[in-house]
Amino acid sequence: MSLLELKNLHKSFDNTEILSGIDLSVNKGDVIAVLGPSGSGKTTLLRCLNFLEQSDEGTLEFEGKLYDLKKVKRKQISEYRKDTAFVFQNYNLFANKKALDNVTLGLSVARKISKKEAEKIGMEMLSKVGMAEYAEYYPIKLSGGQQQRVAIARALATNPSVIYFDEPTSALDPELIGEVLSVMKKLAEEGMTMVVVTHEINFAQNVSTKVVFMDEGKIIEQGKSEEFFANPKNERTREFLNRINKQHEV
Amino acid sequence: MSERILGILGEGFGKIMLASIEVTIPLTVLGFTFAMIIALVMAMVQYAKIPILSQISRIYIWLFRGTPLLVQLFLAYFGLPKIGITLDAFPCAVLVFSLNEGAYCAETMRAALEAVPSGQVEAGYCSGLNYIQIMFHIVLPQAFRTAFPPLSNSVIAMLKDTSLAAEITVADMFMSAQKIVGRTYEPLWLYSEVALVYLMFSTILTIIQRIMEKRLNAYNTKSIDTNLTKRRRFF
Ligand SMILES: Nc1ncnc2c1ncn2[C@@H]1O[C@H](COP(=O)(O)OP(=O)(O)O)[C@@H](O)[C@H]1O
Ligand SMILES: [Mg+2]
Repeated sequence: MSLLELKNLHKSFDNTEILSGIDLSVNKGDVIAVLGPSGSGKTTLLRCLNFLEQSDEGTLEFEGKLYDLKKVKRKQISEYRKDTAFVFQNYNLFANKKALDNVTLGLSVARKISKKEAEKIGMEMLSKVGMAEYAEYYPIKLSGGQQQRVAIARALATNPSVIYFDEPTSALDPELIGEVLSVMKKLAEEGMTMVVVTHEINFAQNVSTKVVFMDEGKIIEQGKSEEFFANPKNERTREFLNRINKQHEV
Repeated sequence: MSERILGILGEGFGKIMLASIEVTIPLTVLGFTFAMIIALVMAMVQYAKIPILSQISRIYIWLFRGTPLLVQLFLAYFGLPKIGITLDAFPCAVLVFSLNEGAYCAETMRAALEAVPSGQVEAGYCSGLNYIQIMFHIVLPQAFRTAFPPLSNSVIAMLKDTSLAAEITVADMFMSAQKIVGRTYEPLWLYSEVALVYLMFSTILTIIQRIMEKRLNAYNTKSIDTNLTKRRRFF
């Protein structure tokens, strides 16, 4: 069942076109890995998808509602954001809030859920990412992997229909990547819909259901995970995969 | 020390303390409170990049930081009556100190607001919060933490600067010392005494600052930095 239908997204920065007509469709339960070289526009795509950037053109259909991306209203944006969540490369936890308060803020403040109920949900979500015992810690006291897991709990708390991840493990020391990826794998198995920009080829291969490959602001190839890796059709896709495989062998 | 000096110092202390309770402390407290209100508005207007109001705020800061406090006091007290605006000395001093201090504190607050990582604001939006909720729960608490040490310095500086109000006939601590000097010709003793009273108030403010900073440190990275600088002082 289609959850999200993005059509003809265009985005420029300073007269340089960064995204040149992106179409993307996301079904419920999809785990979409977005791959592509640095600078190809992956972050910009996710940011446009959550209205952190204003797009120049395009439409987005989400849960049956149609959004005209270049003239979307503030009210529509906030309605849309109540059903989506975003996980940032550098976590962006609220520095003045303890882990639990990071998770509950979107519930108690934005959605006016009682403090007690919010904390119950918050603790559930922290347990889910294995961070329950750190509920009272400030972000500064947590490792990168722990912070990112709290950020994932924060994303989960509001029960979104889709979570966007922008390179969630790229800022982490190698030994901390696994703990975050395994949380994401668990979410995928539970049927959470996710769009994940990543360089973790193993995640794309083994966890994601679909792969989208971007280059120079366009999606140049996409398909089911197995097919994409078994039989990449585009020349640039093959080059990219070769390069990544070589890096892994080193 | 002669008995006469002791007598003068005793009388001086009483009068200086009385002036502090009647004038210097109220002037500092009122001036700084209004200054903070002005500063918050001016800083938030700039942080939110509200057109026109932003520019007005820049001009205000430019005027009040760019001219001497004493000149501002004279202009308001002796100058304004020429265009029909006559203020009593004390309210006039409160007004000038609020506006002058407000300009400095606005800059402090603006820098502190801008120091809050924008990623946290974006995360706030993504959590479903609106602008006001983000300001209230995320940005302002962190900005206040960052601004707290420089704002504390500002209060201490302002406390001392209130002595300038004596120049526009406000009967503050300094003026009460001056009056006794005029009568007794003991400037060394009396000005030392009033200096010590200022020092005492500054010290109290510094101690309050320390205690507050410790309490505010829970989530702050800078606490780690200060520990580092404490440990390694090779030069
Ligand atoms: N805010 C911005 N202003 C100007 N250029 C930007 C901005 N954000 C991204 N870009 C440019 O857009 C291009 C794509 O960036 P990005 O979406 O971050 O790529 P990726 O995430 O695939 O590495 C880059 O060339 C980058 O310099
Ligand atoms: Mg990126």
